Amino acid sequence: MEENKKEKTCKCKLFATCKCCKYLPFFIGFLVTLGFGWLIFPNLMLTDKEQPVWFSHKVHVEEQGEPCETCHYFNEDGSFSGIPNTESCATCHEGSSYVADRVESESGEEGYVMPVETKRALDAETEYMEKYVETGKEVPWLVYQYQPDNVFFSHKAHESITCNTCHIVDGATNDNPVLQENKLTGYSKNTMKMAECESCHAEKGQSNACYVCHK
Amino acid sequence: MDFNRRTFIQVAAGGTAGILFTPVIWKTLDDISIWSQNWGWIPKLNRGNVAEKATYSKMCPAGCAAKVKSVKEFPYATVGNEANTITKGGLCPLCLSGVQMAYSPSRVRTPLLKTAENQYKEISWDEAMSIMVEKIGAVRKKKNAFGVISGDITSSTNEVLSALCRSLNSNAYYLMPSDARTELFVWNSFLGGSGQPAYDFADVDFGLFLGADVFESWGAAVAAKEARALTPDATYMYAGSVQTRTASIGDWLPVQNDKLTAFALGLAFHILRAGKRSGTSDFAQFRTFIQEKYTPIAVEREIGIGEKEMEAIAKRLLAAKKPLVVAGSSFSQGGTSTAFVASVVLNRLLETAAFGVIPEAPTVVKNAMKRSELAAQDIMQPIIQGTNFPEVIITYEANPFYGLPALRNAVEVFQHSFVISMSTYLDETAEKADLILPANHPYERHDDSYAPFGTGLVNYNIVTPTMNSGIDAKTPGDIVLSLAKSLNVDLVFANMQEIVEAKTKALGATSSELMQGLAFTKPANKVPTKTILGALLLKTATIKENGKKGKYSLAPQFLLNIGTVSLATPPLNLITIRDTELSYNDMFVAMCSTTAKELSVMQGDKVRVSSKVGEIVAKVNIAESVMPGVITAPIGLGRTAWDHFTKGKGANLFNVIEVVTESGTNMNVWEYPAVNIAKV
Repeated sequence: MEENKKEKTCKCKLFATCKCCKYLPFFIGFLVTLGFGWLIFPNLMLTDKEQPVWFSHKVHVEEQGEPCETCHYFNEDGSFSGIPNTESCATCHEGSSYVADRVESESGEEGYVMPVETKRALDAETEYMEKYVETGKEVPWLVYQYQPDNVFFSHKAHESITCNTCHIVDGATNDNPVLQENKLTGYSKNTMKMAECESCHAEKGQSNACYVCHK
Repeated sequence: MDFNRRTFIQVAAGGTAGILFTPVIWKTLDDISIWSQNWGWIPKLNRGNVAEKATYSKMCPAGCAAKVKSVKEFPYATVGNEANTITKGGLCPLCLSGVQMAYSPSRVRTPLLKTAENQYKEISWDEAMSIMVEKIGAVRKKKNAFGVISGDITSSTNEVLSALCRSLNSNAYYLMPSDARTELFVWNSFLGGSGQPAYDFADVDFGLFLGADVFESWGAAVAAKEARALTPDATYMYAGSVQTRTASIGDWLPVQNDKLTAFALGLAFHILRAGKRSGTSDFAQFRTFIQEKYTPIAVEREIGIGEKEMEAIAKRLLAAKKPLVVAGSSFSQGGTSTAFVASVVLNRLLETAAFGVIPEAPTVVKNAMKRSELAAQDIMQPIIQGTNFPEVIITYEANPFYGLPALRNAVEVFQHSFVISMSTYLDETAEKADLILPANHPYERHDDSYAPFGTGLVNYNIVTPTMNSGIDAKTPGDIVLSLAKSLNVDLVFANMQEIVEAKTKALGATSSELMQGLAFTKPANKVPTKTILGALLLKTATIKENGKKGKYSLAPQFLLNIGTVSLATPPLNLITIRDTELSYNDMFVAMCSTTAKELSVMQGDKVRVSSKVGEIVAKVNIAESVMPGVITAPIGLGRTAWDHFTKGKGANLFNVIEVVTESGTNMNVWEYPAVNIAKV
């Protein structure tokens, strides 16, 4: 009688003896959505965006020996220059093309084969010169840490913290990573959330009053 | 395992429970909240390259050397220019709002012709020019039928306007009332001086201020404040009816404003007794006058300050290495000659290096009037007489329909004239004018500033265009040059830029330095020995009262954050007005508890302040920073034009300010108007 009842309620032989089997559909539903929520959903909300031109911080910092402050400096009033504009970049690039000049000098050597990295740099520089320097247009660089307008962030006040505490690229970055843009908000995945700002402020004993960031 | 209804519900329940342990709901809600902050109609910050251009901001009477900051060529802020040796990076509350005012909703956007009361028709610049030529051409042969009212004493635009005025058979050139005009007139007409008194605040170790709110609004307040910042050990004393903002940083000596001359001459008695002399031709006469009339007993009887206290103040002046005495009206206009003359006397007896003379600027426009000539005419004279008022009048940076005393009477006089208002804003004068010409904002024009009143050096700054708001407005000087050309008056120059260049050259200044916002400076001259102390004037100048005098004295205050006669409170400054100055639309008059008790009024009660010329209603603020028998309130409120930010807030004190005549100089003065007060 007992066995007949089991057979009636559960035909699955594998779990024939499992008392929890009656909860199996619940667990399946639970696991499916859990998997969806953690593995699929985050990427579903993001769009990958490439930078408009290949740019290597590594080439500029390590190979050309330029300190970060050449391009990212503080203005006299303490405001941060941010990303250099085309005019600033053109002060080095206009008229003379670093990669092209190097290739020209090296290509005269016997058996010269252009390395892949050099070819990529040459193509990027050519594209940059043609599209932006010669036309005077600004490069629509994608910013990984773009804060909303209602946040007042002072780089000067955060000067003592190393840049890559917040920024995902630094002087050693050769390939700028893909920017993952949230389809709904339009912000980068890496944009720092308020909780992170508050957490850091709390750790460092700084005020978390609203007016500190929201003027 | 069957898939039946029960199974489905179980899967769904499990799925729902599972989703709660994932970021799906929470992240989506968070994203939606962020998405809702970025709807299309929400303004976005214009991020980009930040740049700054130097100019000289003329939002306040003295002006401030400034840099206009822009992002992606969109101007957004004004900051001080530290490289300028006059204002040293300082900026007044009006110049600070300079950029915002360029976007003001009260800007005049196109030439307007009045068709009926408060009705205007938009016209083109060509039509406006034709109307001006017709109106002015019709009166050009009549003596003084064309006139000008100027509110900016420092600009070379005065040269263009005054040259045109003379060419049209007129000397009717009037400056809006100010302490600058009073001092220029008295100095040049009664004391044998030339040029303009210079007040060098650098290294002053003791400053005595007679009614002049030096560090707030008198003269070149920013230059004075910056000089004070460099001399932290300096001490100051303010004598006056009200503990002004200047008084708050030094000692306040409560002296009724109309007794300040007696106070200063009482100090002169002690300084003479200490052996100080002056080589002027009227010194003996002056000494006799003081020794007879301003003895310690007489002074104590008049102002209530005893001999010991007076002597102690005189000793502070005598002990100072670089003392400076400054006299002025509490609201920088309508002052008497005597307080100014008394301050000159003290400075000269003390032989202070802080007091000197700034010579007249060379004129570059042929036939133009010098500054002392501009100051010679008193606008109140034809208004009071009601005759000889110009038939056609141009107002330049002036707002007489708001800022003339006994306002109602003054406005009536204008009814018979054709008023052409060159104005940046639709102010009270523009609103009543027959023809309104949109003047560009001070940051959009070529202009200059020679030696603002209250500065201590010969100094020259230029105004260069730093922005363009896109409004079809013109530089006032350029409008007048075009007008002159149309009237066949040859003023040689084609535009203001050429005039500024010529002035730069005539002064020996370097154009490239001026363009960077650097001031051209030279030391002021020493006071010439040929000038006099003004003994005769001090003897004869008294106020003639017209009929019964009001019981209380009104001591208006000129607070730069609230605005000037010609510039209403910038919207950004509204939050700086204290709730004891203005609450919603009600202005406060401050009085001490003794006065309040006498009037049987309490804090917040409404009172009617009246005089023979008009009345206002205000609320009572009880403050012990006002002497008994005196009430005070700021000028600059009670606007009837402008925009919704300022219109209708508070009351205009000029409605109750009565003009009296000073015998001896025959000047019209209104420094301490008498009023009556009654509880409403």
